[in-house]
Amino acid sequence: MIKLSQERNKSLLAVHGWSAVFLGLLLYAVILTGVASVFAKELGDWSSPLAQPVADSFRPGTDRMLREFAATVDPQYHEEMFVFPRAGDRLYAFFHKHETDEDGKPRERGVAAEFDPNTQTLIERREGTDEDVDAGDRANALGDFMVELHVRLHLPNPWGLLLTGVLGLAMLVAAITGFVVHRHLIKELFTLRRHKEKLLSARDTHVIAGTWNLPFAFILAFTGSYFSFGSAFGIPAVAMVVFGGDQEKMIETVIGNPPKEDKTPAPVADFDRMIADVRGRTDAALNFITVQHWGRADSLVTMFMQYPEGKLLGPTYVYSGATGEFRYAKPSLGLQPSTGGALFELMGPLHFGNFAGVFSKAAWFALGFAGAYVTITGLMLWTLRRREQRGWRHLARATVWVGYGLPLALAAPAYAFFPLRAAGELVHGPMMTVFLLVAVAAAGIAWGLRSLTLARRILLGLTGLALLLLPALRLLSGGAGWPLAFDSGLHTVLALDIAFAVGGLLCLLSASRRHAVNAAADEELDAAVEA
Amino acid sequence: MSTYAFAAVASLISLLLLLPIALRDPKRLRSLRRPVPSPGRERQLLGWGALLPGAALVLLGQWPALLIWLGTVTTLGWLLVQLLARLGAPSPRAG
Amino acid sequence: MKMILKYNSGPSLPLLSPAVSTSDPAVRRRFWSRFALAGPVVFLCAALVMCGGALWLPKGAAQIDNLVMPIVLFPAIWAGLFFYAYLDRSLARAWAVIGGLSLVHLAVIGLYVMQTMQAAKAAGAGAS
Repeated sequence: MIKLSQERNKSLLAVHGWSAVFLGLLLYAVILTGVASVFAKELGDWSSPLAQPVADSFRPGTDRMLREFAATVDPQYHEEMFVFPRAGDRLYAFFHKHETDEDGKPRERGVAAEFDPNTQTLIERREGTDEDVDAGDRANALGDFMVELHVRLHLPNPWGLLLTGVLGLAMLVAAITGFVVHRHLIKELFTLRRHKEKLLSARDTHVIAGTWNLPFAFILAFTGSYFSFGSAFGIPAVAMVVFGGDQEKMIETVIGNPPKEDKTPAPVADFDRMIADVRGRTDAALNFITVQHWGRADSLVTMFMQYPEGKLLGPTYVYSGATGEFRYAKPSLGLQPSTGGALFELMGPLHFGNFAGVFSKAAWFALGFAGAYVTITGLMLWTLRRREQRGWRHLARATVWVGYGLPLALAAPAYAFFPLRAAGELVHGPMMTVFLLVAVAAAGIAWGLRSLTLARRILLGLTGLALLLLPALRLLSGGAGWPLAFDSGLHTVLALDIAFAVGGLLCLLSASRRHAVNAAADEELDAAVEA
Repeated sequence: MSTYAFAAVASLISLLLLLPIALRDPKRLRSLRRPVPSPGRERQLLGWGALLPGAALVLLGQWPALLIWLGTVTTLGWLLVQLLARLGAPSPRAG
Repeated sequence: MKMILKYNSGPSLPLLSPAVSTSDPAVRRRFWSRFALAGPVVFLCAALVMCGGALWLPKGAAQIDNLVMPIVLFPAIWAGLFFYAYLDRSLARAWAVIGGLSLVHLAVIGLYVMQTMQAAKAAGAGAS
């Protein structure tokens, strides 16, 4: 494709390979949890449905519901509020103020509520910092576990975000170098030589999977590292230089609503009317509402919509929170469309794949899986090439540990979540404990068993079992049975039950058959590692 | 046409154009010990042709459909290669 | 960026193959120099370009481009600098370019911060 000198080629290949040696397994973890996170909302709907599906999260009566709740909230937390549907389409509202913690990092403190939009009653109320409030959450816990692992590998801010940011850059480098060193990209796109030498077969596997995945890898690496670095580093740094460290001021400037302070108390406008008004202005579905300065004359209500049909970008709608009158439509950032604003908005759909319902999510899910496959096969190729050197055999074992152990460890927290939630206990800590215990056990299998093939098959088989039993686990801890779910219209419950069962069976089938995609290469590598 | 329709039609066209490229790939035929036809311009034309539906989506401003098309074609294209590798193959360890 | 291909007596790009004698101190020095440059130094440079960029980029239609674009494009800024630093055959020139870029943006930032501080002092003095 691109003619490079052999020296440069080797040099770029070195960067490609060595960055993978140090960061590849962590990157694989981020990719795999990303794959799970595509369907985080659906995980929530599956694990924590309400009795009935919710046709409209913001139906008439929402206004009364929010007002009644606001009256029970300390006025200091009326500074800002957002409300949006979450697991099971429970409406989640968080009245809060902004403050800084002991280390000077910004955080929020306030009161959160979960409502059932069907009955328009309060389900749960939690108070504290944003972290406290999240810690008490149960309905969203499974999905959030995946997302937290993905976004920051469950490490505290800002370290987790910086690490995932670096991993994103590594993936970007791997995609670019992979593209550039591949001399005959198109010629080699279509053939997997599975029956020749094992090394060639392993190389083809990795190169072909990687080539097909290139556009996606580039997009995800770029947007992913932006998301991580943007909040952990970009905003604070630019705010430090341009706004003397005032991140809030920078965010307000960039969002672009004209600053106009008026602290006079004023009645709160009717939300039902504003919601009806915005629905008259656009076909896009209402997704998210923020309210600044509840109860003040300068209160602003911003309506965020889902993607308009056939578009990746769409305006937000701003209302006066005191009078309910429509002020203006604006992009997410700035008062008018701009290049910066458009780029910012594009990052979301490009990264999350949520711009066209379940089909775009399915595409991103599949592409993410392919990306994980590319990462693992790359490491397998590296360790196969160096199988004569003892030191690399540990990387080969580590690749099996993470490659096959992580899926198992990701399925495991559900087995803490469902029973503990049914018993009324907090779930986050135990979920993490179970995850770590299973991860350690998987390491024991990967290093304890002499045969890597056997280790691989055991881990895959256990994953299959864990997935296959998830519907039963859900049922046994009080979840809706299939007849009830079907009658009530809880489609996500049924769909994911089936998906987990099918996925589990596929894993079990794959584990029981001797024939694997790269059996020959695996065996040669295994023989070398076990020697 | 809805986003899904655009994406589906575009993906179908691209995949149909990729199929002959994949089936008649010289490297694949060689490794299967089948006769290799002399190289012509067909592969290149088919290749560029497979990209045309994407270009059409760009010209029509159908951005969500473009992204779904890109995802569908790269995933199914890869799966096609995997499938062909298993199908037309002699038993493992032969050759 | 036009890279002049020079013939060197030794490998000028980092190669990690057994052919390279890693016991040769000169080679090792170059390796670690390149590693430092393409690693932490480029990251720092990219950060400075991002922050400094907010000060000199045009504001655009919504008056926010100068703030948003550098942050959104940070991965591109970093990647560009990284590949340049890694691939320029002349290690000395690579250091000079990256260092120069960093210093220029540091100066831009420094000037702005000083101006802001002076303006704040003047405003404070005026108010009292």
